[in-house]
Amino acid sequence: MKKLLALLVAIMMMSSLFVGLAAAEEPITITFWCSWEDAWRDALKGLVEQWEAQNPGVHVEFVYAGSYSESNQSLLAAHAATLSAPNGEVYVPTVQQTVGTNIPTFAANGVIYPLDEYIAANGDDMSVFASGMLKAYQYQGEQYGLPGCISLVPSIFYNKTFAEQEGIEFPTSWDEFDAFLRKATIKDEQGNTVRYGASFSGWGIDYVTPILRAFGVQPFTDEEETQSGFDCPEIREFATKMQGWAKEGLISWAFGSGASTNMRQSFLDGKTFCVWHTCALYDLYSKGLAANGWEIGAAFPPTGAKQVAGLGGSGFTLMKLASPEQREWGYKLIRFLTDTACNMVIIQNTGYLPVTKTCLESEECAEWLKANPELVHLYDHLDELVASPSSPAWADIGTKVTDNFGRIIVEGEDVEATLQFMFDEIQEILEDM
Amino acid sequence: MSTIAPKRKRISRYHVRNKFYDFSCAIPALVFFAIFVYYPIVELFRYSLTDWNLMRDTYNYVGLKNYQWLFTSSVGWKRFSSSLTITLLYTIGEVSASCIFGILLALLFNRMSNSFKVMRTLVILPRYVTVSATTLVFLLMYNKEYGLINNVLRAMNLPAVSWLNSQDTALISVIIYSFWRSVGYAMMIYLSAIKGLSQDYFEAAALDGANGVQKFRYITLPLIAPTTLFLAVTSFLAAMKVYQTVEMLTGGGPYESTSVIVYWIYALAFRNYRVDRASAVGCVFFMILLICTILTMNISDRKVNYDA
Repeated sequence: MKKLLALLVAIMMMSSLFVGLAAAEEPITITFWCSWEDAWRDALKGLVEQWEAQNPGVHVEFVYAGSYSESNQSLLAAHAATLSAPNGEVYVPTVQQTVGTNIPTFAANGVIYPLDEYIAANGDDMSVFASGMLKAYQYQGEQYGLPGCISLVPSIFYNKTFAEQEGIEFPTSWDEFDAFLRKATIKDEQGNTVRYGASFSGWGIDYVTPILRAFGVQPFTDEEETQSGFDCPEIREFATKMQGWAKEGLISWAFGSGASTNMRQSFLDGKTFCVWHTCALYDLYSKGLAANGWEIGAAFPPTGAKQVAGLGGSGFTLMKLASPEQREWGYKLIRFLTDTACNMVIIQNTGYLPVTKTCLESEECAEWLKANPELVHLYDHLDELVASPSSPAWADIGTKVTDNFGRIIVEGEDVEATLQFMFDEIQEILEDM
Repeated sequence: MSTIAPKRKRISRYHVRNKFYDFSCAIPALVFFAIFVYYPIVELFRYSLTDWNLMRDTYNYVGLKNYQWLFTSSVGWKRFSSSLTITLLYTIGEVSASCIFGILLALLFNRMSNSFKVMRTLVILPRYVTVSATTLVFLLMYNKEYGLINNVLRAMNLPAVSWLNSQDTALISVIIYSFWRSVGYAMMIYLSAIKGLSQDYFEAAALDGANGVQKFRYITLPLIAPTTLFLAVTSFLAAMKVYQTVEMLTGGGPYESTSVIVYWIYALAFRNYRVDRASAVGCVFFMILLICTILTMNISDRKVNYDA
């Protein structure tokens, strides 16, 4: 009987050892939340799968989490659920594809985890990233994310075929813009606009701010972003000019529901000479124009008080509530997705621009630019990109700015009264923070 | 002289068992309500007394600070009063249009021919198609440049209307969409009420020489008053909580002209990361809905003739 008992105990101990071994070999699962759709998502998924194949001990659950804002909302819910999970369940992803403007809020509240220890442990050289790109993913001197791709907002796309046929040159300064508009706009005998000279993305603050900066308007006057800089003569000049052009039917200020679609379609139909949008849509615009037998041209915003464009695009962050092991593998995935080879795949499949100097200087990139020569106009200005303000109040302020420019430019409301109303609203928001 | 003692009501074991059995049948529903309705309401109130933002793992109790912000700060009060006004306008528009056209359609379709059955189905169908799908169709129809409605207007030499991008028409456009979805349901409820009315009243009225309008005014309308009340209360509560339609069609714009209260609560919580303030607005809105419901029920007890 004793022998039988000893045998049973021995079997149990052996089996528990095997279970332990099996557990040790069980692949670790990390979750990746993606915010790109269609072909862009497929390109990113392909890269993630490539990394997974190189790391057999790791399984990556690739999840489409909706748009950046939808993904953030899900992340907040997952974060709160993980905080209150009774048995330590983890609902947050390991890696999230996100935009730089979320970094300060998420970093300050402990949603995302700094990468510095992993960067140091892996001896990664951060100087490969183009200047200013890393800064968009920093908070209080710590690196909370790495940029995966950048876009230049606004990037200007124009109908090169029309430009060549009609001898129109895209202006390089705002002083020439009025003459350009008059040449590029076509009206019928009744004076109705048949083709707008330009169409602006008035629905989004990220598109409007760089134009305001070009006119000399600073969103904030202090580094802490607590004092509004909107109340200045330059903004009145901007608003008056835009309203005048809109009233004359020279420009279209795309605003409100369906604005982006309408602007895009109008350009592809030849009803707008140029659109001020994002370079990420280069592929869509060039193919769309080509379908009508037209060629695309690209340009950087004209020079005013400054020549700037906004920094768009996305990067990757690690979640604080993921397990240490998941975070470690998550960092490796992030590093893979931000290296030169992946950068090249992303830019070839989208219209985004590369973030690493090594990618910019690579032969593949040179060939890509040779095949898409219009993009050179944008690549030449990568050092002039300015990141969006990171104040938590910026989203609310942005809505007030775009709404009130909609009132002025689209509805034709009084410039001074509407601007004053906007300044008061912005002040209220800042005081409320 | 003997006196008869009053009979004491004895509760039998059988009766207790039956009562317990009845109660136990309701337990699953009660548990469901407790977890998914009552507990969230209690938590909502608790969060409204804190400074939690969904992200931090700790929070402080701040008393009535969030309510103070809502009622006394210019930003809070202005947004609250404007959102509440927009919500009420939307609700009045949708509920009254659905009820009025619901009755008219019910009167029209109160026939049993096959063609009317098909038409009834067509009218009620929109309610059972998802909002996300139907709003996409309406977005295309409302489009100023390429939309069907403006193409028709242009064909009639009328100017195109910026349906969703003008503050004068955006709310009306949202109401039209909601009306299109809800009118079929109102029609079906009215239709079943009308079909249940006794024909005796109408025959007696006909003998007295009442015409169609008089029969409707003095017989049909009073007799279906409980149905109207039911529809008004349920539609009112549903319409006050509108969110998805606004999110899909206008995103609260233009110029916040369609920013209904639930949309604002959502934006406060998930775009401004102010769950504390969103909870306070949610609690106040809950109280408003509760008061409205109680008032409606009280009025209905006095004004609606259920015996008819």
